[in-house]
Amino acid sequence: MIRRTAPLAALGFVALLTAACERPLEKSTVTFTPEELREIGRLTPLPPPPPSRTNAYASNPAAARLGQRLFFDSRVSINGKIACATCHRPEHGFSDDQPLSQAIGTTEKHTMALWNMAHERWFFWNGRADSLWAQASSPMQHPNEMGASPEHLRAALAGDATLKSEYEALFGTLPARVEKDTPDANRLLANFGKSLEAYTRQLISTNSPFDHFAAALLSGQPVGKNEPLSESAQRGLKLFVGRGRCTLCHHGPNFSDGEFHNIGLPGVPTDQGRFAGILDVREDPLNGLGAFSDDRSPETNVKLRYLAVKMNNLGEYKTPTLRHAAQTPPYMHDGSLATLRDVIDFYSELPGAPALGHREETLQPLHFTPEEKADLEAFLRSLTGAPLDAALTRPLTSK
Amino acid sequence: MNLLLRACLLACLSFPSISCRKAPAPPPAPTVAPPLTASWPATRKTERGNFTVTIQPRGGKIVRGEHFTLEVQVEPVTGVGTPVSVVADADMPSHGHGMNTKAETVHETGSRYRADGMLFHMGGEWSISVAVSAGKGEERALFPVTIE
Repeated sequence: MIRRTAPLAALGFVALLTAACERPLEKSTVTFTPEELREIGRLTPLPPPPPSRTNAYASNPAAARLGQRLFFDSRVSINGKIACATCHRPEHGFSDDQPLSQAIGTTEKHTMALWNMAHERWFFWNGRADSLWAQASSPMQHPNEMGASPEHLRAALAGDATLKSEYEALFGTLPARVEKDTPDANRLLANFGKSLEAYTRQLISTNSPFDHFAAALLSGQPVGKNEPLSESAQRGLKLFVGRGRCTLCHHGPNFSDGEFHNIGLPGVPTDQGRFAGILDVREDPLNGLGAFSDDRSPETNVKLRYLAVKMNNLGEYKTPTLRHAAQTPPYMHDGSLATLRDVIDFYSELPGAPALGHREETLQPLHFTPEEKADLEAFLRSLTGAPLDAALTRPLTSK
Repeated sequence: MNLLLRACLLACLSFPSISCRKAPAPPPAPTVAPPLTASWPATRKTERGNFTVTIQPRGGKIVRGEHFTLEVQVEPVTGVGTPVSVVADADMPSHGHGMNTKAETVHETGSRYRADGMLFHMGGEWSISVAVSAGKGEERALFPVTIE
């Protein structure tokens, strides 16, 4: 009898223990209106990135491997010391902690984080490239960044057996020599960029605490006070989609409309922003309508065909994604705001006059209270997703 | 063309008295009719009543951040004649800016036109305008549209 009842008793004990350990959900006191819920539903989940139609190698694993090798390879720079990863540091959200990028020299812009670049429509702060592959040749050749020539790139590829064999397996025989601004040089730059795009398309942010919270909230499940978002972060979310009107620009699952705005940062203008970016992208021999594009069709390149340049574009810069923003200080195109709190303070009061052009009419001081600022910051910190596969964040050392 | 634009800009930046930094006057209050319902097609008369304009986005909807083609039909109401020019555009009156694209309106056949390259990059109140000219001045039909 004792033998028969012992297992049952043990089972009952376990059940009692489990019940004792399960605390009832302490429900959140933050409520959302139907309009706020609709807006939250537009922010999550992040779908797979759209195809990169002008790059036939964008989803090619061999191209991604070559791209990863090149991303971490400082031999691509003229002094052999600067790699893409020098500024786009994986441990810093593929950005860096300097206000302005420090490579061979000091650039005029803060290093853009690379999270979710595959979701973007334009590249660089001023959108002067129309694809992730086309943008790669600019930092490689800029005298303050990597300072290299197409011939230097060719020699770097030819001088390493692994790089050479992987390049030639994908793109054909390396030329014996290339001269800047020739079709051979541009083809080489395009192929370099296409392999880098195949790698950087994998740097996708997923599964942030916000995504988990929103999934529960939008499916009608009860949400708690602390997990996965604190009540402070929940209040911040309510502000973000409500009174803060942040979603006017930080819209959609990538928290960016992919477009350009003049938010009126004060300071000394160093360039013309989107105004110059439009002129540059039209002339770029590596744009989607050019000879090195793998799809020059009008349908694929609709964004280039109807691009308008207007005086409003002066001083406009791209809306960055906010996913992983907590990982990538400082902020703004000029790196002038050191912390997330500084960014929130800026939007709260909008101090100073724009360096160039005029501030968007929709931006008005919101005069957040200290509690609201803390709530918004807590929300922004909830947008950091799961870490990437570690294999993507370090140099490839073997074939 | 690009050099000319850059030179004009340089001149603006070099002479503070004509600086482009000066904020423009606030946009005039919109004089548009009440917002449309979500249903397409939508029909309006032009300002002087000489034309009836009907529009609808190809595919039946406008998605924020996605290019779309606007189908346009223009019918003369009076004896003003056949349009010689039809141009579709859009702006956000309360934001003081328009689209980031320059749409191209092309004549298809008869009274039918289409505007390619439209893009509403922000949510909020937009106003689609169709400017029609039959040679005696231009008149517009305005279509307020709310984009979520």
